[in-house]
Amino acid sequence: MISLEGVTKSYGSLTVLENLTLSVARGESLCIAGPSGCGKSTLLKLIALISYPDAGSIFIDGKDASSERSSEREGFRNSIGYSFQEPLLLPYLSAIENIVDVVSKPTSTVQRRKEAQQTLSQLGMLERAGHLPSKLSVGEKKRVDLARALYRNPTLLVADEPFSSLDPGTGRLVAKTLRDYVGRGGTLTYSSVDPRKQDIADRTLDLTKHIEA
Amino acid sequence: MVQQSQYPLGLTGNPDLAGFVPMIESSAGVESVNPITLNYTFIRMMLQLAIGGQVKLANVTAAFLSAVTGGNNAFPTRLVSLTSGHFPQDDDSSFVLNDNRLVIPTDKTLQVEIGSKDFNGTQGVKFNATVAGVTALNPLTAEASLLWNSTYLEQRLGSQLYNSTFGGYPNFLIIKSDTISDVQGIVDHVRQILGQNSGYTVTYDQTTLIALQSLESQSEPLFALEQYLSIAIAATIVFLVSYLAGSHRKWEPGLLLTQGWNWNRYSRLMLNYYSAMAMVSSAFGVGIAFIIARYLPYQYNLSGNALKISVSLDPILTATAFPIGLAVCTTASILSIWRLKRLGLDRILREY
Repeated sequence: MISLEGVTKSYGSLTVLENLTLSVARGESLCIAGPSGCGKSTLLKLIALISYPDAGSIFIDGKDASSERSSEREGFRNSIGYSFQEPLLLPYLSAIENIVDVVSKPTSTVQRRKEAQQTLSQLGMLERAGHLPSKLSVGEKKRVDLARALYRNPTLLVADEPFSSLDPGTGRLVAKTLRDYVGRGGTLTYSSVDPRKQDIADRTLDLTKHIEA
Repeated sequence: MVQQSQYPLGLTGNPDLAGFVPMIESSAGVESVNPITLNYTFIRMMLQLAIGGQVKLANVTAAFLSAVTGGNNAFPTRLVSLTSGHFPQDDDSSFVLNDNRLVIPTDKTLQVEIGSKDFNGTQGVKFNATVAGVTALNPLTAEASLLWNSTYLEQRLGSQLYNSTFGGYPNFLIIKSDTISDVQGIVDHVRQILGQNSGYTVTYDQTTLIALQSLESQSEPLFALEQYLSIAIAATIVFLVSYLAGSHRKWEPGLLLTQGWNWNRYSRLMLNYYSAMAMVSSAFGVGIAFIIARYLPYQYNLSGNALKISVSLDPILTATAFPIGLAVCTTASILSIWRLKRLGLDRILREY
């Protein structure tokens, strides 16, 4: 599905990732582990085609997606769902509007609303669907953000710390939702600092040591 | 202005000026000609006079050149600019002072006579009247010192006497030029038309003319501003709104792009958004320009009087504020999109 070959990424003089190679097959899940600041988010942004590698290549379904030609990247990005570490919601839209009005989907408004409600329901957020982000807790915002990424029914879901700011019960709900997504044939890449949440994935990549388990 | 060289006494033997009007009207630089019939109004009033070192009250009779407003050969109402009081209504036995240098008390009942060659004449009609209002000093029209309501005066004098005094042929012309620079040429031309022996002279106030020319040069930037006031304000508001909108929540396009939007779709959204802003901002700009034009007049000191000049907005130029606003906003949106594209998705999202 996606593979990175010899990828290097730096911010100024700080090299965050160096000569990294990995691949994730379709229907597979990969957890990126490691302490804060080790480059998990940077790697997920590269996988989600949000940032470019300084060196190396990124392939999606065998096609080079590291090209800077924006139209090609936009095409690849269209099949990727991305959930932010810090939930990114438009403050003037309700939870459900942050899904229906923000995500591009060629179906009717009624149909889109119905699908959004189903996704929010999976994450225990249906009752809060009409609330503005300012009325939601951080954990709730994270679930809306994840629901938005899932709502697109992407072939690749990239979630940055999907379990942070969640209580154990909600964490289990999110874990089940992610497992269901992979069970439906989705490809999942996520990051987590919590070792207990790493066993959801088929594989774990410890970024500190570049070791796969 | 064309006036008789001697004040008319009732119907004078001077030629009728009406015949000259078409010729003067067709002269180069003449915008309009107002023919007026002037006649005397005698006023008897009690005044304090210093006689032989002593101040005494004395009955004084004075003759004032008068005109009527409304009706044939009447003083144009647009030249009446009241500084106090009101203009007499139909049944109001009063008149307006068209020269605030006169010292006629406004609260006193005055004895007036109209239609004779002197006070206590046999042909005139006497009645009591008061000063209803005072107009701003206009040296060009001060010859008509008293202005009467024509309807009232016709009732008071009777049709025959009224027509023989204020309804007769015009004996005074007010000529309006197209521009201040046309005045001298018009004066020369009208002098030629009237000839040497018509009994009329052409007068104009050279001091005022110079003052007006000075005003014209001083107010040139004002009128230039007038031309572009609405456009300038609209463009400024549009630019400020666009700038503020563009620099607010830069991460929003980043979010949309991560959720399947492409740059084309985002650009269309921005163009629509900025266009709507342009229309609203332009409307605000035009509104503000209108308020400035209407309520903040330019003041100029002319012959001791503050002359207020309100600028008027050119409708065509005002209308162009909208396409210009649209162009400003479109440019702003294109620049904004270009800047975001240059930043890249990763850096846009870091703004969050």
